[in-house]
Amino acid sequence: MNQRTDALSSPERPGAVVAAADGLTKVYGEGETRVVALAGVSARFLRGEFTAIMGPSGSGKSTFMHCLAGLDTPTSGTARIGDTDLGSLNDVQLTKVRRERIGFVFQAFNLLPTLTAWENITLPCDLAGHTPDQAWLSDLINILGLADRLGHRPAQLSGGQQQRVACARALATRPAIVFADEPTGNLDSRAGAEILSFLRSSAKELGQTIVMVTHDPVAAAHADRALFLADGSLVHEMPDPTAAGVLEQMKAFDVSQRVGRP
Amino acid sequence: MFRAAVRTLRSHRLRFAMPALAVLLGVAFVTGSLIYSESVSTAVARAQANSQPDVSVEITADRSAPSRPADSAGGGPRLDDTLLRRLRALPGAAAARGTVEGRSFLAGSDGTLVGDLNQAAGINYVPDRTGKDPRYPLTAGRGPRAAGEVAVERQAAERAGRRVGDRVRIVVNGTARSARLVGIFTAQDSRSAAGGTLIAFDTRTAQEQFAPAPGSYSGITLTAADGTPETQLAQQAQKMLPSGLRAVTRADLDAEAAASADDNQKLTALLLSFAGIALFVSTLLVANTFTMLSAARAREHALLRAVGATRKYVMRLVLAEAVLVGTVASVAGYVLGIGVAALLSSLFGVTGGPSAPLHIFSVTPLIAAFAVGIGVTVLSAYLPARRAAAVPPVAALRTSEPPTAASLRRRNAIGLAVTAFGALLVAAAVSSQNLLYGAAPILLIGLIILTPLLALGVTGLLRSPLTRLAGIRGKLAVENARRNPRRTAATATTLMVGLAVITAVTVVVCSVNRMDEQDADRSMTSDLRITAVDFAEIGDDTAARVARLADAEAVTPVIHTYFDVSGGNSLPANAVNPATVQRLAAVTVRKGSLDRLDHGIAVTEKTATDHGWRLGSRVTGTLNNSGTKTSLPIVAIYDGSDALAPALLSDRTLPRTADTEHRPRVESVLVNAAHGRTAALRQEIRHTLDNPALLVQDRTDVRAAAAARTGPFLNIMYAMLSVTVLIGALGVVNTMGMAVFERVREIGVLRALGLDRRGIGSVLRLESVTISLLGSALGLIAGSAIGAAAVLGQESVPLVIPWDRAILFFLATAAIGVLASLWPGRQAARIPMLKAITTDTE
Repeated sequence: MNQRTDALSSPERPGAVVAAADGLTKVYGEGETRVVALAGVSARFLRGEFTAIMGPSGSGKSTFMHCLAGLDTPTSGTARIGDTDLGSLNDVQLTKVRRERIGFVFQAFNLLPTLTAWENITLPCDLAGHTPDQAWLSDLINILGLADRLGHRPAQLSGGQQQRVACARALATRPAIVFADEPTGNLDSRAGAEILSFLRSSAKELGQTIVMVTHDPVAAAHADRALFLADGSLVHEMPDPTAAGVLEQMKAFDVSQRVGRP
Repeated sequence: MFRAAVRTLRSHRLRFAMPALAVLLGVAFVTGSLIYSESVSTAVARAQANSQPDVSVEITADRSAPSRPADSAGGGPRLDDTLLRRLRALPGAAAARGTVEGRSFLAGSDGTLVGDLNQAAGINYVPDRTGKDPRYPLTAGRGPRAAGEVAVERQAAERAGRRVGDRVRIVVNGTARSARLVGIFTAQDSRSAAGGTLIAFDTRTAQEQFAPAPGSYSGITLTAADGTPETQLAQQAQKMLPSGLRAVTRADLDAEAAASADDNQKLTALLLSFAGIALFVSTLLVANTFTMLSAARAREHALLRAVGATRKYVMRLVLAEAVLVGTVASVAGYVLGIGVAALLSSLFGVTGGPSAPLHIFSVTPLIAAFAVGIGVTVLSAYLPARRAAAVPPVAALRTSEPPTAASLRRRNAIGLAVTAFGALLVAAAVSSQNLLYGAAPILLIGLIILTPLLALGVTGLLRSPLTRLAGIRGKLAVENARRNPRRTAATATTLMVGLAVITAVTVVVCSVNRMDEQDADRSMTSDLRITAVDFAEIGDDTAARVARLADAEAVTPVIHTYFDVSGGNSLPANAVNPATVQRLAAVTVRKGSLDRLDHGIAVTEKTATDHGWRLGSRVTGTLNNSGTKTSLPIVAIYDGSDALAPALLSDRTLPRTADTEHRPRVESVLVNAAHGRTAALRQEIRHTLDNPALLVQDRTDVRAAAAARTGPFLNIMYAMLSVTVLIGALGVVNTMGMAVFERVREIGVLRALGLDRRGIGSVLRLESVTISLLGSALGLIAGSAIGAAAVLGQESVPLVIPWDRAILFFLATAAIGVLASLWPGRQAARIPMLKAITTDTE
């Protein structure tokens, strides 16, 4: 990690702050059709921390991630990657930040069908014009068990394999932070478990910061902590979540929502 | 059904825009050509019908009768005053007039000839008792009365910028002179309607200039008395005419004129064949679009099938869309066609003459527009429609990517076979030219079938160089082009066809140009050469006048004549100045000498062999239709350029004749200047002759003129073929637009992973340029082969491959590729990234 993020780390916390949201608000539409997707969410993400963002549909968890990852622009509030305020960047600079400091894993894998697995993995490096770090990549590939699949096109790979390629792609540039949007949503439970344990171990062993959006309590249980969003607000934070605990919390939302809105 | 189709069209407006535009252009081309051609033929017929309304019957020499020698005394049937009086006395004739007409040119204030030279005429002014000629009503001044006076038709006078009282420069019989403009008249005459200039002389002057014999006319026209049908008048007249003359009714005259105006039909045929090429390319584009749309809408169609629509229904739905697209394209194409017709009219219209009024609505173009527009669209949508209908209902439930396309193996095999057959035919066309008309389309169709394979091969080769050159962008572009080889091929071939035709035409024209240049170099052996502009001639005394100039070192006229050998054929001969010809022209005397040419004839070795003549043989026959037998000994046997073959005479041997019809024509005057005085001499000649109908050229001029001759033709070809190339370019825009539409998600992923908008644009641009250049390269190769076959089939035409132009075309298609990606690139840049990556598959 570079020194600028170290400088940001606050003394009372063990890790450096890699990303931070401060009062993030996102409003869609105007007047009658006005929808508040995010109502002032603040959070910090530390190096090597695996965070799950939970919440029912429409809670704003995806919007939160999109704003934090520079895919969407908040209506107000700031999103920082390291000490870079994403709101101050133009499209080209933002593109560069995404390319060099952020990794993505999508629910629908989103590999480029025309490129081989290897080419997909090196795509962010190629886009940035960097030579990929061969040693790092071969480590990743070995961990993910992709060594004999590198010449294949996505169409020739299973869903789990495709998502593993996507994970390798996300980590290929050693980004400051990896955002995973429902990474197990399109996978069967075994393949999903493989991906989750990879994400967990990359946080633990490689110090990779990971933010995962999910609505699956089992997935959230792999994380170091879980943030709960409801109606666009951060309503709860759970350290070392368990599937049962998360499920409880989610049920509580359901009840409170039903009670709150007759 | 149609309501559903209309809704589809509305929601896919942009998708259907390109095929509609392509068909529209084709339809506009067809209707424009037809409207223009109809307007011209109507205008020609009307001009002819309105021309000289006082003529009911015309008496002229009967050209179908065996030609009889007309001696210089004017033997044979004569159209003279005696005959005129007798015809006037016919009971059915209200009036008769003798006309004597010939070529006369009018120079404008800048000294150059004005109007359409092919329609320029001198006429005789026949004043009646009041001193006026009813056929040519005056608008200013009076009729010409003496040799130094002329009257000029009003439009001609306007074009020349002359008024009554001015001195005008006119050219008659190859000699320029000045005359006083005494009157301006109007004429109902097909020649002035077609942009020609009419100059009126008094009858005596006109007869001196144009009459076949002194005091005679070139024709007599009769006006029928009221109640007398023209056929009856013609019969009356014919009865009293001596043999060799004939009376022709007005109706027959008009019919003859209409039949001879076939230039218009040739032009129409040419225009329509280019329109056909454009439409063919449109077909490819439409088929490609409907194929792409069927693929994109496979789920929609499957859903229809799943809820109970029959195959037939789906197919009809797609065809209904095609009908609608075709109808819109036809209507718009017809409107644009009117503009095209106006453009054609200004391109090919008579020089400066009143242009033909366009008939905006007429049956043939209207029917053609709709038949072609709807026909082409439906025909090319038929196969894609069948494929769309074949979608299984279960496809509606599939969420994954559409199934991979069928194997190309069969298509490749057919493509290889057809291409090979076409190539063989093209090669065979070298020895049999007519084969080419079949061979060229077969070769192109073969290539169209084969292009997917070629596209895969070429892009496979391009992958690593482009990756090295443009990094991941290059790799992505190449991979995208390879992803659907059929589509890439269909797009490339829309450009290929246009490029192939352009290249073939260019190769042929450049080769012919080179031949012309070589011929010019070979034939132009003197320092200077005087020739007449088209339709004009060189005065008999021109050579003599030039010879008198101080800087003229050697001068000879080259006069075309012919020698009717007794009991044999007509032998073309050139009369020259025997004293100077060897210095001026490539003439090598093999036997004998030209010194005695004044008393004999020289023939080429080949002619001598053919006729079994040798030095001293006597050639007996009639010289230049003079009516008297001449017997000339062969004094020399020579070899020379084609221009001076097969026989030479002395210009002094030629009989002087007043018979304008059979007068030998001075083709050119060759001149050598005293050392270093060429430029000066040229000025002197121009100044002395002061004749705007003559060209005085040195070697460079002749070469340049030879090369420039095909220029306008080539430009017109390029203009017409540019429509085809434009449609090809639309095809590229279409495919790239569709690609963006289909790859929304991928583009979003690339943006998320760190490719900025410009990067997305450059990936599309590279793909577009790759596809365009593939089409360009195929077109250049196929076109060169076709052009080469056409050239090699002609004897004595050297094959020239115009590399400079080929490179230019290649670069131009690269530019087309760049331009074609602009709009899709902007569409791609506008894709909201978030929406793109979060949308579910299709």
